[in-house]
Amino acid sequence: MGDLKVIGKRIPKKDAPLKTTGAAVYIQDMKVPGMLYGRILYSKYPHAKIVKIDTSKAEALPGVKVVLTGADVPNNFKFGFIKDNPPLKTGKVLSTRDEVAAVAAISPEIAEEALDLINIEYEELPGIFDPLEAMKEGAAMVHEEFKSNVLKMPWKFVAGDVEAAKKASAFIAEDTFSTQWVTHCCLGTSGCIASLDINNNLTMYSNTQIPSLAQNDFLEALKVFGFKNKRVRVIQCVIGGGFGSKLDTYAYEYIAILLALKARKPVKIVFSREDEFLATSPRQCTITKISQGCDKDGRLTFREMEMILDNGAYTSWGATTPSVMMVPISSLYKVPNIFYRAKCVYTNNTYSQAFRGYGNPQATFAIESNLDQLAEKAGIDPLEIRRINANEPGEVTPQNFKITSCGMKECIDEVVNRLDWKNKSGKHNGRGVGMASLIHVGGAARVYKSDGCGTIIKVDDNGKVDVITGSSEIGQGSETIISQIVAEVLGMSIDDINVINNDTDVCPWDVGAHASRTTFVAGNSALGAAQKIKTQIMEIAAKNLGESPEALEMKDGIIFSVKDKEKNISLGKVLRKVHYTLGGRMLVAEHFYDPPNENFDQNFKGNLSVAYAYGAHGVEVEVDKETGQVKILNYIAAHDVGKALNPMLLEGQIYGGGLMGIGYALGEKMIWDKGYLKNGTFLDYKMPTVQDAPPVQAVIVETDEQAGPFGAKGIGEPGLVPTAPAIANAIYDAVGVRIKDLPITPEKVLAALKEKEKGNP
Amino acid sequence: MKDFNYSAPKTVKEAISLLGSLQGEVKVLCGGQSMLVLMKQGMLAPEHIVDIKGISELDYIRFSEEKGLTIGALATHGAVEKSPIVKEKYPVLAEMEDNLAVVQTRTWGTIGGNVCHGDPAADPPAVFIALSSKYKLMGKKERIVNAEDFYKDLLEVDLEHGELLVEVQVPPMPANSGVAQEKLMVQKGDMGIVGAAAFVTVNPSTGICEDARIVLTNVASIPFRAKGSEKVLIGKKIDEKLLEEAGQIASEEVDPPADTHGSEEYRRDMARVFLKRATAKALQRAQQKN
Repeated sequence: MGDLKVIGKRIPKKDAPLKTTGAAVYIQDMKVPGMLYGRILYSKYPHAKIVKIDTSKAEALPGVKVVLTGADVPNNFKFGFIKDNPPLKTGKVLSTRDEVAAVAAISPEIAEEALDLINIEYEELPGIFDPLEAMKEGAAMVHEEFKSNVLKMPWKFVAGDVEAAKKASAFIAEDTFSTQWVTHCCLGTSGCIASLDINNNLTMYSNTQIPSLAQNDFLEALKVFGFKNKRVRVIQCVIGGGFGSKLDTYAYEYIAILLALKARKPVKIVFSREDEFLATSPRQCTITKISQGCDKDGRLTFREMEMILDNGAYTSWGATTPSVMMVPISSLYKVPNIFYRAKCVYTNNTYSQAFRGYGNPQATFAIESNLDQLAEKAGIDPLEIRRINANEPGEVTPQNFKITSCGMKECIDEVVNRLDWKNKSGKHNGRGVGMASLIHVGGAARVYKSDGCGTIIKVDDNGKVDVITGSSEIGQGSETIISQIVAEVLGMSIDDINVINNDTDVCPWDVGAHASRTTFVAGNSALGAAQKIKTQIMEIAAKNLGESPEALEMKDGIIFSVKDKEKNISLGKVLRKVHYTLGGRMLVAEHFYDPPNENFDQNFKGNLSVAYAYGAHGVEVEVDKETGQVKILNYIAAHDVGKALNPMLLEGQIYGGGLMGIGYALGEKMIWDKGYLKNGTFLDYKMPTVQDAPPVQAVIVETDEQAGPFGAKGIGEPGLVPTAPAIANAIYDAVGVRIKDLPITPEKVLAALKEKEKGNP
Repeated sequence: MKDFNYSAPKTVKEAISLLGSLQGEVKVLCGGQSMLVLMKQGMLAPEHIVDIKGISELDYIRFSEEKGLTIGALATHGAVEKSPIVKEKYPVLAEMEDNLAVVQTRTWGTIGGNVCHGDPAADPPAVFIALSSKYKLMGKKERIVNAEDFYKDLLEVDLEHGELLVEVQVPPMPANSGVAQEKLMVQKGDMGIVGAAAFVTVNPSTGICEDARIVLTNVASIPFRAKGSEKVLIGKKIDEKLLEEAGQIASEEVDPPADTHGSEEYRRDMARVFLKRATAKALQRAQQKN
């Protein structure tokens, strides 16, 4: 790759000064002229008939402009993955986050007060809060029209012959694992401003992480509302974190549109922290039955998994997480025979959605905990069983994933060496070590028909570059990475690169910030566009200098002959020459990159991603046997990233993912008790803070992925995938108890220790 | 949050006369770190708020050998945490502050506000009770109350209409005494599933425990004075076995809540463990002084 000037350097995030000084404009800060404030009234009960709604008092409150109920939603509009969710409910409510009425008023305080004046008569119905109950014969239907609480989705993957493999296995370990609801805890809560012009074209100020898809959703909604052939413009304010929470469209957005249509004024709805806990969609909780086997040498023979997911009351894109759970289930380590089936089950709980890792953490918790159980049965060091079965370059997995670059073994070795595994494992003296590996998509993921991203580059008269990209900056650093890529190609400083990434009227298509795809897809798109514009610049400069383009180089805004540096021309001059000439032209290039990956076929086979990301986490813990508290003494997170385009941002992703995973493992849990959220505040929802951050060593393993921009693969999600099983395995190594139900609270560990003392396994 | 009338007196005198004259529900605001949360949750909607943040005469931390430590109501947690005299004479208070919430809360939150909030999970009331502290209240007349007697019920304290807590008085540490505080946190700085503050004095020649004051947090509706446990310890040489017995008594005597953070059973068990741990540490400190 020659000498890289900008790529691979520790460059601070371009937007860091904005965010640290408070200059960044979030949706919370946004105001548009004439704007009203919307608030939503949520259901009082998890399952009830709405007998009567009286909004007259709210309507009479001075300052209230519009009050809406389900009756005001035109043409039975519903949204969601299978369109089962009306933005305002009529007839029945199915969860305590069901929207039953909404208000637009001249101030947020008046809107809030108006909610208190809405009188709703409910007739409470018994609810179903446990997916196992919901699956029983004769269970009440959450959605009567569907005739079943199990979603009609064919989540099943089979490879080889698991039954035969079981018979041939020397060792088999089986168990059941479960995971909890956790929520994203974005510092920037959800929000939008819906603004309609006189022709009912919609401008949506938003913090979505899927601007193009949201644009499409809103267009569809306008159509159903009776406004055909309209335009929708999505403008993203600075986004204060997404993590999947903003990867779908939600009731509040449609409610804002409906309020704005009725009020004929822009309407802003921004979630309070309490709203954010209640009304955004958490990671789905799961129950997983798993069985894995190996031969006498520790080679894995089969993996069998059955999962039940609590879907909640409505269906979002989150119901497709079993497709990503399949990634580790089919392809983490070399396993020839696979059986997997998942059921998403309706309940009267909150409905789940996408969350960093998209199902992978739940599946990996079961796989990697169970793998340690198998290793123990087989009498093999947990580290050896992972080495023996590690994925390798050139492999084609049972799901037809074509493994290109793969640094899994290197990651395992980093963990082993840095943890001093050989000396520390197997002591059972209150301190222990554990590890877990991961596979995730690292070269995009063809979930939708398109997996593409467009980039437009234009160069202005002063030699500065505008990069107009479809990709979204959600804090992950895409703006900086795209600047680095373009700067590297054009031999410029990243300060000369301006990234425009927040307006669908201007920016090209992209399917959104998901699947750890932005660096890979938007990066490749930007790389292609930069190369095209460079070709144009060099041709014009060559004409002016009387040289061939091949003889020229470009650096710091100057194009010069490699042989004779005196022969040079500034980029600005090149530009002015093309603009200030009769028959002049623009210097603009566009590039659309859609990766050569595949949608799954009906059997869930297909090369979902162009490349796969690998990693291994290792942790040393100390367990307090009197309290059950787990203290992390050392944490190694080794990741195969292809190539580190910016090690500083990359480490940030690993630290952030690791800490999020530690919260998932040890403390975070949304407590939904019979349909009511019991801990919807940061006082009661135990997210680790910076004060809890243990020493995490981020280890970067480079494997140079040929298809990636400058060799890079995705790293957005992997950081939290193997955390929980690594910790659970370390606890087992320390004190001999295996916690199979997340989170691993002190109380659970202590109870398990007491059971162990009694001689119960 | 509902609207309220706001006033910000500049002196104690002004504040007291204002507090005495206001009708309806009145709340004193200082750092607001506990009260604003309750107001945001709609659990509290006072008609009047009297903000005492501007009464600079109450912002002090003083020490004298005779009187001990006096902390003005406006002294922040951060000020206590960083105070050199606190670190030297009452290091337990600095240790407590290190595990009290986060730096932002400690920067805004005040000692006066904390002890008046009446949260049985809060650390300062327990530590102050263990240290035999008193609170000075100003109203129509001045009152000095034992910290221990100040707590009446969950979020209920002995503050009459028109009264303001102006000072926490911590007596000098007796010779041969030690004090320590421990709590079981899921997040560093959280309220603690259970906590314990212990104060003991030990006769240097006999090694016998002459006094013990142990207070547990988050195990009852008020800070819980573990009198049964203290009784077992006083007059004896404290060893592992005795500590276990004292802990056992506490686990039986407490009346802990069961909530999302811990079951009643677990809290009882942790009352035992943390009583032992805090007392053992206090004992060790008392012995080191000898």
